[in-house]
Amino acid sequence: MMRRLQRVFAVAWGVVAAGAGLGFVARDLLGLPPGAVALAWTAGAVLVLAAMRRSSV
Amino acid sequence: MGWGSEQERGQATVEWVGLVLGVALALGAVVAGGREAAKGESSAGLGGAVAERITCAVRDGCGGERALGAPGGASRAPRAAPGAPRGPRAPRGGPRAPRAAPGRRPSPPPAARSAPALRRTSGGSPLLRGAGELAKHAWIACFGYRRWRYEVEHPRTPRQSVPVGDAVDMVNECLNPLSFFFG
Repeated sequence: MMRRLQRVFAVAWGVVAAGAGLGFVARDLLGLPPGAVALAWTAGAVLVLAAMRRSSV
Repeated sequence: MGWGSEQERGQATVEWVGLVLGVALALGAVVAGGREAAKGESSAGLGGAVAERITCAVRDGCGGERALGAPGGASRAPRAAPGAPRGPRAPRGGPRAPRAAPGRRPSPPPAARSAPALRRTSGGSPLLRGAGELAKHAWIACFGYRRWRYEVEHPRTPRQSVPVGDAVDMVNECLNPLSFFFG
């Protein structure tokens, strides 16, 4: 139970952190418009989800 | 403008310099101690290893036999030869190596870990994992960038702290997903 909970929180934090990372690059460093920033955030979240999914199978 | 300038801007107090040096010492000890503890059996040795490294740095000693990988040198300062007089710098009451408590089992060796755990750490494309790890750690740079921007926009002396509300705003702008979607 605790292991599953830990896994869920790790995935959630990874998604938020990766989305924030790419979002920061797009918004603050590149100065992209809001739509592109949202896309970058989603791309970061999907990237981490895919990496975690591949590494867990 | 001479040496007797009364402006405090850009000056650091002795306390701040000491605090920064202390933090740097602790972080260096964490890095060195963590590496030493990683060589050992369990993560329970991290505290002892860090304390030992700090003691070594203060005493300017402890030799290099552990760095060279001497066997059996787990978290112990070098001992004096039998019969030799104990010098004033003998490690009396210093940090000791963490011993396994009678009721506690030592952590299993890496070879005894479960197969799923090994699969989790070894699977996946290296490129994908690398990109994911890079994206996961880029948010830290956001804090530094926002803090720098804040410093440029709100110049202040070293004794003035950032208001809590502004700090929360920085965290919110860097981590809140809504700020990226609707900000």
